[in-house]
Amino acid sequence: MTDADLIAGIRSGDPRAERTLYDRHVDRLYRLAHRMTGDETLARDFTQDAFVRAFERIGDFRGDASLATWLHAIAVNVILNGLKKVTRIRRREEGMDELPDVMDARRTAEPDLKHRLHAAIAALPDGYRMVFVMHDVEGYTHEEIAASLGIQPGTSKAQLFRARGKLREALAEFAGEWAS
Amino acid sequence: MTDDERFEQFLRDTAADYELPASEIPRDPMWDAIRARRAASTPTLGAPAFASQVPHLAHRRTMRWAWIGMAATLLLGVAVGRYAWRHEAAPSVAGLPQLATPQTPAPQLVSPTSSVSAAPVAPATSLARPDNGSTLASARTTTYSLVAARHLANVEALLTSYAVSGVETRSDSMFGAWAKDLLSNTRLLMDSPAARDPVRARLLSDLEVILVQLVQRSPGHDAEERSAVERTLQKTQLIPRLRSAVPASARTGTD
Repeated sequence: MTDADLIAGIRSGDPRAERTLYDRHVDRLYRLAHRMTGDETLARDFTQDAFVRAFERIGDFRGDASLATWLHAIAVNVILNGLKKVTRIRRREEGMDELPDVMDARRTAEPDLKHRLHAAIAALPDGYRMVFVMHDVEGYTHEEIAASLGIQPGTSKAQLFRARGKLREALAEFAGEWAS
Repeated sequence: MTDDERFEQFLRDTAADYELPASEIPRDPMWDAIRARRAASTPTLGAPAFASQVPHLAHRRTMRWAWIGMAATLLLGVAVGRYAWRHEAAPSVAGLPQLATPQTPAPQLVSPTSSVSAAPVAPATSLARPDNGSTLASARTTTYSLVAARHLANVEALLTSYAVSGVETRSDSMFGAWAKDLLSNTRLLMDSPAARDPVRARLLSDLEVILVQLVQRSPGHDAEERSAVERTLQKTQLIPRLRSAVPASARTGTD
């Protein structure tokens, strides 16, 4: 089915069109949600939310971007807003004034470089982490990231650069490991 | 491979399994949940079936008029542009925007048609009256190239000033304001025929990144942000590339 067929089918309520769209994109969206949340339940919830929202709003799809880009923009929005809510709830429950920042990753006793990197990625602000995960981990292009986040590709590049800079600072004591 | 490239490769390799789902993706359970939610939100038989369609119909009517309006505006713009090109002289350099300095705001890029209307006719140097497609296209390309050269000279001035400034001066908000003006012109050029040249397109793309970094600097993270800007300048070699891309005449404003 072409994108045009899918859109027409979904708009007319054809369940096969809906399932086709779902099958084409669920893996990538679920992986992104899981990488951003680190939690299977949240990843499932956000993935489901994204598709429900997409089916409800298919009438708003204007064709400015591809159907895939439009769907991913909805998913990214769901994930980022969902993370904000989760963070607020966790702060209230744990009485934390602020979440650990990337510098805390440097102060942990975990010697393993890979674990330290993963901790540093988890400690990145959500926006930087989204760009980093989308580009360096999941292989999205800057154009795809920009369309999903509603920014310019140049801004995506700049944010990726800063994200990498923060990770580099967090791994400063391991400088040279990647030279070998 | 530079150290930055090795670090980037290290990141990609080491982060490949970052928060990767441990088990198979639960496609069918998620689909069942989605269908259940859709069914729960679908209107029942008792409700007026057409009510849910009315917003769509109204939306479609509104969109139709919006499209008609946009199409009319576009046709008007094309007609005005073609009339202007046929009846005005070709652009001369004297009509191009002047160089910007931090004290004066960078001029907004103008279309060749508006600069043409203000430009004096220079019989010895003007291009032939555009009476065929190739001459017209050539004139437009020349104009965009000249505007791009002037803009690149402005950006070179900013980056050179930044590079030679002391640490205290680099934190000055003046650079952010200057960069903001240049950023919007850079983006306009990226979408213009000036970016058809692949070398210039790559240069503009790299300039966009560093201008965004300068614009986005915040007061509390100056040292880190200065370091990021300096790393970008070093990695992309922007200043030397600008120097080779900008002709001397564009820097001095003479032709």
